[in-house]
Amino acid sequence: MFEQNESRPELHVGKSERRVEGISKITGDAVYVSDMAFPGMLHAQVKKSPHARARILRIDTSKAEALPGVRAVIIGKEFNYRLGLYVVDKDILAKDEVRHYGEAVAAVAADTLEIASEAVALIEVEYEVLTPVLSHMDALKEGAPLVHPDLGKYDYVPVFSPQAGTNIPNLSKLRKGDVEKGFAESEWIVEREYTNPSVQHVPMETHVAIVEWKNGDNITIWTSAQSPFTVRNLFCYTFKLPLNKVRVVVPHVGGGFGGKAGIHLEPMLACLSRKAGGMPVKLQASREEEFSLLPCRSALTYRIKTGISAEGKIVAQKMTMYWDAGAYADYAVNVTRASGYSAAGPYEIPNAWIDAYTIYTNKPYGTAYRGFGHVEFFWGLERHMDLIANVIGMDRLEFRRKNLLKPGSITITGERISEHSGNPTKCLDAVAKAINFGKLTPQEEARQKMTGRRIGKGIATLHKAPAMPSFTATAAVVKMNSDGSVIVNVGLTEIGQGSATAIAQIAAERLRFPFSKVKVTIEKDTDKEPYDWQTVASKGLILSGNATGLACDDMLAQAYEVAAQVLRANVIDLDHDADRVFIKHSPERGVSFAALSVGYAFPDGNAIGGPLIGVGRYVAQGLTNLDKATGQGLPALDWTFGAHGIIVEVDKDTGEYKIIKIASAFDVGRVINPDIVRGQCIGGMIQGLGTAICEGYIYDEAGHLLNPSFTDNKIPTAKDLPEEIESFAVQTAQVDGPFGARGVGEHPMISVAPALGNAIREAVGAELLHMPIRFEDVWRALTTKEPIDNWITKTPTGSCRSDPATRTNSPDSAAAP
Amino acid sequence: MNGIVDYTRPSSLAEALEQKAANPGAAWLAGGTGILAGDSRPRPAALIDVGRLLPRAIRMADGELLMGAGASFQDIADCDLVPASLREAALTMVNRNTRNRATIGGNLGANKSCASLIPLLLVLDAKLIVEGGKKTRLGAAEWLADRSGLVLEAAIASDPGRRSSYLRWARSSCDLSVLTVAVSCIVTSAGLSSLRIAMGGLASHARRFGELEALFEGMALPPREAIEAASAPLFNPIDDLRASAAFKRLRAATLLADAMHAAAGSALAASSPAATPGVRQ
Repeated sequence: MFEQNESRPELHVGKSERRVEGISKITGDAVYVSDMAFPGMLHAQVKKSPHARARILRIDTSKAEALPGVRAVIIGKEFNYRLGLYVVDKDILAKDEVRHYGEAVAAVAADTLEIASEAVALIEVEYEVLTPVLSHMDALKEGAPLVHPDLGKYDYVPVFSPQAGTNIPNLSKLRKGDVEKGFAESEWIVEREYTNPSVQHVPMETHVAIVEWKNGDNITIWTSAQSPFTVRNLFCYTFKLPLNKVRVVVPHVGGGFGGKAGIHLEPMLACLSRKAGGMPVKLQASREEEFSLLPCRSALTYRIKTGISAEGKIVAQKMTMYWDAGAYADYAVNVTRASGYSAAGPYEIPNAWIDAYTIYTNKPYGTAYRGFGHVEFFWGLERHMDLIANVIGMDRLEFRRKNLLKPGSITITGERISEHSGNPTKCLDAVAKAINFGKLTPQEEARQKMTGRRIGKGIATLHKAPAMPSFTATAAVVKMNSDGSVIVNVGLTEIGQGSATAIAQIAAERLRFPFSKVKVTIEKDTDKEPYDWQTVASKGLILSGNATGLACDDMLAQAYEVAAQVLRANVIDLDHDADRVFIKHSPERGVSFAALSVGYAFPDGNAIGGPLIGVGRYVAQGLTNLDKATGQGLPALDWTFGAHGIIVEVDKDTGEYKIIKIASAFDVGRVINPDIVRGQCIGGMIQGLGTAICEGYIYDEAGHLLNPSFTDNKIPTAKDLPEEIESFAVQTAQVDGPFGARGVGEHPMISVAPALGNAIREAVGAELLHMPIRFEDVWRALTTKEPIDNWITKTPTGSCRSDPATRTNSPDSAAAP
Repeated sequence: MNGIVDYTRPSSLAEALEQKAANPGAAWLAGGTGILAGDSRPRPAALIDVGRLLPRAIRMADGELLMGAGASFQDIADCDLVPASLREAALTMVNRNTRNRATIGGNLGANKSCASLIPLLLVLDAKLIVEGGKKTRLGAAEWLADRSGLVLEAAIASDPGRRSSYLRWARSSCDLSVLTVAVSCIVTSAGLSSLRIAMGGLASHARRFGELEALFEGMALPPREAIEAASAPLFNPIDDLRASAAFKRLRAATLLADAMHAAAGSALAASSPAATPGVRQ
């Protein structure tokens, strides 16, 4: 029936329909949790630890409780609730010991924000300061303080592997072929270590939630979270409540980037609300709290040893990843797992060996961040590929082309790449062409001569699959109104990525309706929307898009069935346009969707049918768990391949540089909305540049975060943009994607940094192994004429004042377990 | 607010000065872009809000440019009466929202190492009109030494032939200044005359560098490399989060060379390309 429609010209797919929530956002009509207030609503504030690790000896809340206007004060010892996404390792408030700077030890709900702040200042906490473990490499050493001595007793999701008695909440392994044999057969072996610090997501809207715990344990949570069903599920797990007692509502969200993927403020506010008699309690994190109370992106130390044949083929690669989880496992264990099967990049490697460690330290904890580990490890991987090409004397583009995955290639987990898997070579070639890789144009030669600054060009590939359970599921409901317009309900949250518009286009295309007749709900409500696993991982387009298509088909089938009775025709002979269902060979005989929408009534009053409501259910197919010992299995719903190319000019005396051009290409399968894809490409690129050029947590020797604000934790602004930006879409259709599409939400951020590092190296010879690449880092690399690590953010034991020569935890001194 | 327990908004300057006399530890509050930024920074326990009391006009009077202490950075950037170098310096303040709040009085009162305007006020020999201090009119450097009283206006006398420049170095476009340099001089056929150099970011406060001025006074404008080589050993910068001492030393020298060429270069060396803020030529 509907498959006949596939050959028709597409009405909406491939067109830049306007963002469905755009007008409300630019006019200020859009309501965020930040905007929300309820009668009697209380305001919360948090007492935070000034220490990285300390024993809590005493907490005196009496003065705070006595302050007029204070309605509730809570401390950790009041509760036995445990939290955790994958490893249940967290209390709602620190109980006996604080594990990171900025951790919550007490909270207050009061009539006003000012009273709550005053009350928090009145809470007295006596600590016994303990020696923290700040470097994740130190945390692996024998005798290192244990951040979680009870790790072996914690509940955890079985796909992970906590190591009791250590600081390792997960170790993921992958074994393919025989790496030692591969090294023995190699002509060259190149081994290096690459690092990057923790960074902050810095969404425009900081974390905010309002929680109301009413009588009978009826709980409503309004939150800026990305994934309402995850908040509900984890909340109910923690409080041992049935899912139907908790309603999670997510209105407009001012950016998430993974930082709002899990559960954060909600349980604490729930405890405050319950203690305050059920009044709604609101907390909006300050910008500084975003940096330390709330999670960040994990730091990484990545060692890569690669064996290469005389012909320039990668024969073997041994990869060891040390992920700094901070004080709690949160998403970091899954970042480790995902990187543990992706760490080789889009390359075919016959012999691969990966150990990926998640490591506890006494620092703010890591969570999901756009790219889910790939931004971090691609920094090392794609710098490494340039290093190899330089070592073996092969053109950097040619070396990559020779080793990229192609149809028939086997990935390191054992998946066979098909013609429909996407084409990394096309992406790489597109960016190489866009920047005239390998040579300077006459204009660039002239510019170089005029400015005295050296111009270099770098390329870097990327790939990423959604990191999600093999059984990830979602659903969509399409409801027809009595005027023939439709409303689409999906659990996928619109957090700025444009998913609501893309879903609306898919629905309009599938129904062959005008775009204006389709509405996708923005506010997500777990009591009203169909289930969706999470809004993460660039999986929304495929999963929710497919579910929407199926729901549209279901609704049309219902309409056709009723229309067939009305028209006394066979269903197979029916067709439809935007307004009506009609008989193909007698198009003048038809019935309007409006007449069918809520049940068709014959002239005599008899009625048939009923409200047209289509349901589409979609679950990831063909995926398997990974073997714990070998990492073999099928973890990828799809692979989105891509590449970045950068032209940079560098002052060889000061190390300062300016990015002249950045080009990106992604195999998105099929472009649903060109403007949204371009927006993702540019937005992700800028966020990637932030990671590449200036962002990073800096701690002192005691584990205090020194730069928890935009004063010294710089993010790029429009003024920092490259002179020219170009993005390309390669379209190798994903067979099981909606209209062939696959996700591209995270990918534009990945591999920006190595493309920049490779370009700088090409320009002036600075061999950079740590990001961010600040001007001073380039200068230092040029001055020392050898690879350097970052002298500030690399080491948590050194503040800005530490001399690099005095550092004690250099890579060479770190002992692998 | 964090740390602040006493906030007053006096209705007159006299009342403001009385409050300050009664509580010397209280801080003046003007635009608040520095003192209110960030949650975890230490803040004074008491604030006296004089934002609405400070004159804001920028005007010419008796051959002097008079800038009200309440004039915002954006006011300065938008006013044609203000020397181009000072307008450029005002525009380096982060973004328009902040420039609309930040005031020249606040910049002087905070006296931060990264102050955008102070280096230029020093090399343009600005005088400050002060209420409640030891003197009612004194040089900017003299006032900054103890910051007693409340600055009402900054005055810059007309100085025909004097050229000035301002450059800064920052980590990103919207960063505060990590290093600042202001240069003013009169260019004669004999070379640089009445040379004044002030720099920020090297110590806890921006200041004039007499030793550098003496080094180049009366000389023809040296090539950039010569300025860098001569000046670098004289810098003894502080380390901070923003850059190491070694890098600051290097960058201060190159910044000074660029600023000197920007101030004097167009008169003496037409072939020398003009420097742009934050970018070494």
